[in-house]
Amino acid sequence: MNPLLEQFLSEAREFLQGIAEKLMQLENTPDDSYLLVELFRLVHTLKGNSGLFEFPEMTRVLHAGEDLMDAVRDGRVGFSQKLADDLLDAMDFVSVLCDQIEQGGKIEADMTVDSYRLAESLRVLMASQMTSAQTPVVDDAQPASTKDTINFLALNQLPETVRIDAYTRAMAGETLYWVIYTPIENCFFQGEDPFFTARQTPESLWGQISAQEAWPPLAELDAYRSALRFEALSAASREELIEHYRYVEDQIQLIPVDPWSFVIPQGNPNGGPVYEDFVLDALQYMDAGDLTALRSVAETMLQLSNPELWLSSALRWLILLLDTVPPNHQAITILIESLRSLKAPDWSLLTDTLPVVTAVAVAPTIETGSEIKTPVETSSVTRADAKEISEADALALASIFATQLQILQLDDNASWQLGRIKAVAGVLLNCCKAIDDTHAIAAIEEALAASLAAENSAPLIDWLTARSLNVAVVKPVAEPIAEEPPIGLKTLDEAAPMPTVEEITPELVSADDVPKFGRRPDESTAAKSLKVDQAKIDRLMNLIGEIVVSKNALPYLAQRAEEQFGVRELSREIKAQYAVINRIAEEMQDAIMQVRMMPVSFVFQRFPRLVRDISRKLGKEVHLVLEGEETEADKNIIEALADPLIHIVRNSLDHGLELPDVRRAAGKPASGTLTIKANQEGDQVIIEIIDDGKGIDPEVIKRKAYEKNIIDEATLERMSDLEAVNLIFAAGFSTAEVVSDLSGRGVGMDVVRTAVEKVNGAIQLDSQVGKGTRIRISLPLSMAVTKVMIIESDDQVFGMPMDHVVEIVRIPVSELTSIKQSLTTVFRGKIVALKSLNSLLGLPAEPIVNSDGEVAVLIARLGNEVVGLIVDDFHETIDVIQKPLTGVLAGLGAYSGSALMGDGSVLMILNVRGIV
Amino acid sequence: MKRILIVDDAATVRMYHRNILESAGYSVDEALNGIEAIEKALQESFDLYIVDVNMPKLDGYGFLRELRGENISQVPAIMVSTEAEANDQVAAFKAGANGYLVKPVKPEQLLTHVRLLIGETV
Amino acid sequence: MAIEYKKNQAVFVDVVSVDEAETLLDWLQNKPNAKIDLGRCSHLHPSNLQVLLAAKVSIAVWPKDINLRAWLESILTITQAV
Repeated sequence: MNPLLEQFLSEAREFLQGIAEKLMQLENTPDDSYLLVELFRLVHTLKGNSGLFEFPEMTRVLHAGEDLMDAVRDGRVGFSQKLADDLLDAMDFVSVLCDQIEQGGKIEADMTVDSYRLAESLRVLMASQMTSAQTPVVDDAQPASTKDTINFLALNQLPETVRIDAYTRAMAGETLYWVIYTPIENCFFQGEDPFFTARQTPESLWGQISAQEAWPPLAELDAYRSALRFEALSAASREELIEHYRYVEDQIQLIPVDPWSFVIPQGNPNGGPVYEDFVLDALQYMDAGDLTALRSVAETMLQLSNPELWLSSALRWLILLLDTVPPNHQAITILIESLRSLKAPDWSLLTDTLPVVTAVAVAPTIETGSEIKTPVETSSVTRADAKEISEADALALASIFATQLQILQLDDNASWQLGRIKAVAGVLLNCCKAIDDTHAIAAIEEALAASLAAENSAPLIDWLTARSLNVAVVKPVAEPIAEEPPIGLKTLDEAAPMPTVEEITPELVSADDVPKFGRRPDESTAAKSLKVDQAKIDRLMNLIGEIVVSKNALPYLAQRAEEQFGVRELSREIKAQYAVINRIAEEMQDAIMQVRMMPVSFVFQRFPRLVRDISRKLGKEVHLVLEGEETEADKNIIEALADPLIHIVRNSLDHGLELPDVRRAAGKPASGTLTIKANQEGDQVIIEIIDDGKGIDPEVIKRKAYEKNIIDEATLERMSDLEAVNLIFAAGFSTAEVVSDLSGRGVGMDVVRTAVEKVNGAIQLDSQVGKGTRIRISLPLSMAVTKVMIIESDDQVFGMPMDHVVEIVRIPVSELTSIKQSLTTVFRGKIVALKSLNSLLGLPAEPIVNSDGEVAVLIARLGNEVVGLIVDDFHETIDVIQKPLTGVLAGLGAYSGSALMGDGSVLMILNVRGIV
Repeated sequence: MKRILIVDDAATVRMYHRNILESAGYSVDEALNGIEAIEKALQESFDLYIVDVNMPKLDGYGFLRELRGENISQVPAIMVSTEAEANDQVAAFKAGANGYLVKPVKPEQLLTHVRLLIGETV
Repeated sequence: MAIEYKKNQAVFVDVVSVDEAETLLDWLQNKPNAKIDLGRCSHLHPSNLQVLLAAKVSIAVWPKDINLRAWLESILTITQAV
């Protein structure tokens, strides 16, 4: 993907997020004019950005959104819930388009019609809410021909296929004649068969019979008095036709038919909406001279429309007109315009009935005073020193000069007028420099001085007026200057389309492959930030991981230097160097960690929308409070947090918070409050989700857990309320009686717990019946580096994450007691179950008892419980970069991962939950 | 080397213009809004400003008025906008722009105007 | 025979000449609900057509000859629609 597109997508997502936020803020404060202005600006800028690419589907929807927001900002349309909903939908659509672009580099074809539909719905909404009724009224949707000849010739009776054939032939240079043959009354007596004659019309494309008068009752009919008229459309030459009708020459009329009069869209005008945006887009393509794109959108529209519709017929014609060589731009424009009104194209507007190549739409010129309009005849005024300049430059120059004249002629008496005059003089000087017109420079400076002295622009206007005559000289004589549109209006050279952005950017940026980030891509000037591809950070992360591992080899080296080679001095030096490298590596690691840190707002920002949508669906009133959004944690942690948090929030909305009536009955405010807050405690991030809903009844939970065989009766008896409510995190437990459409889905809170524990976090819930529920999630700030304690058992070493280590103790064998089948000991006044690591891992060896008759016990934390692991020995703690197990190893529940040790060996990291 | 300040709140548009201008050998700086642009204009001199209309804090009109009115810089300025209406152009000229280009600006169109307004020979 | 008259249907066969019109007119005056089978008709003199039009008959079978059918449809269908 080219860097510009990357930049666009990344910025688009920011804007979409911003738009959604602003919309939701506006729901609370619909009159906040600052918000309205900001919202407009975001939509407007996003639309502008999308215009740099060929994403008409996106631009179309955004354009409609921009117009709508413009109207809201100006007070023409009031802000409403419906409006917010529709705009949010539109932004969701744009977001989908962004995804498609990111994944496939393009927008899927089937989005076209949706984009029209969405844009249309926004426009309809806007029109319907306009305070002053400015909506154009479509008076009569019935297509009516405007040109008499069409009615007269009854061309609209011809089937479309015949007219297409006729049009195609006419465009190929054939002249088509409409033959009207009105046989005389007594022709039958002369042995004639006018019908046969008519049917034999050479190169007849179509024919019809009509009655010249109403038929009398059958009894009065004179069958031998001819009362019919025959008409035929023929591609034969005039001579051939006259030859054919030579005996009845006086009874026929030959009318050459203008090819455009065949172009009559027909069909059901009411069957489908006509998309104003399609018309606008089509006209824009015309302006840009991009007939290929126009043809392709027309084709898409046609495929999606019922062929019986008037619209479809018009589209078929449009495509035919586009395929005609050379295409007639004016005719195409007229046809597109007819799509808007659903009326037959008004071909009388065509200035030339022959196919014309030239672009006809000449932009209106800005009033520039009479002086500038007459340069065509002044080619005698030549400048000897005038440099030969290109036509493009000449046109640009003329337009720049015209603009400067316009600026000088502004009569707003602005206080900054002198500055404006200086700037204009600067422009004139520069332009003359650009064309090497050194003579002019002195004259401009003189005029500027005079203007400044007089504090008005007259001297410069004089110079410019005189000058504009000269400028015309370098222009092609045939082209009057007045036709040059001022800068900004569409350029003249429609026929030669400029390369599109997509084509030129790779070339422009090929010099260096690195994305050219703006110096300050961030909105705030204070915090200068840089957007970096995640992959680059990950690479840094891996590299620092390798350094950490490599440096861990140094202590081993020092050890060998001393023990194996007996050079104690060297060993000490290595250790000293190690200390330095170790410090730098740690700092570096820390610095990279910092880069990976991101605020929880990344996850929080989706909640306003989520809460709004869900609560509305449930008919609940919810006030969402977000706190501590700036709290940071490692990107992986934040990302891992998203799904569990959404699940919890859904649960709270679904089961926690009550309906307004229920709340009122319970003496609570109708609107519930859901608070999501984050803060940092030591090296942990704490996220709390608090609702003031109905709470969780521990008795209900206990009963259910018992029913579901999650706890036995004994546990049921002695369980505290707190323990009970936390049972909702147990596997296979779901509190909802009925699986709800929102949070149900067959997964319970155990999924949340699993997700949190996966990133070494813990989750806890406390609740008061009738008051509400609080869920507290604690997470490590970072998961990239794990501190592990090396433990030894049966001559093997393992890593035990320090998060789980409560304490390490040596306990005399005499203090171990067996309760039922399990070994326990009393530790700090509590009974702790002891398990032998060897037996847990399936190792046959017995734990080693040291000379003092003690076993080594590692007290490990397991959620809210502790368990003692009997091992053979403890070693040091080290930092490791834990790598997930892959392949068959990934299935081993006993290990959470592996880490590379300084000596090159692999350390298996124990997963306490998996073994106990 | 001629220096150009791009004043635009949209990073994508800045990058687009920057790519075009840098490929033609101009040195480019960026400002995200009118206030930042004024700060930059006060600190160093540019040969041309390319100014967006709609920006937070201070919009393009405000920036140009300040530029011209406070005599901060009187070098040429081009306003870029998505609107092609004549009254939008007049508003730009009134504020102090010397040129008006409709977004998306075609690279050749931009470069031709920049070159002429800056006063560089072909 | 160019027109075969059946109980309530006139069947036009091949070319129906100007001479048939009189008979057709008489027949139709007596059979106001008669239908016309043009299936095998390749051409009919316009005098016959005028009779069909004035009688506002309904066409039971349209000509197989596409060209003829197109011409006839341009006026017979319109008449019927009225």
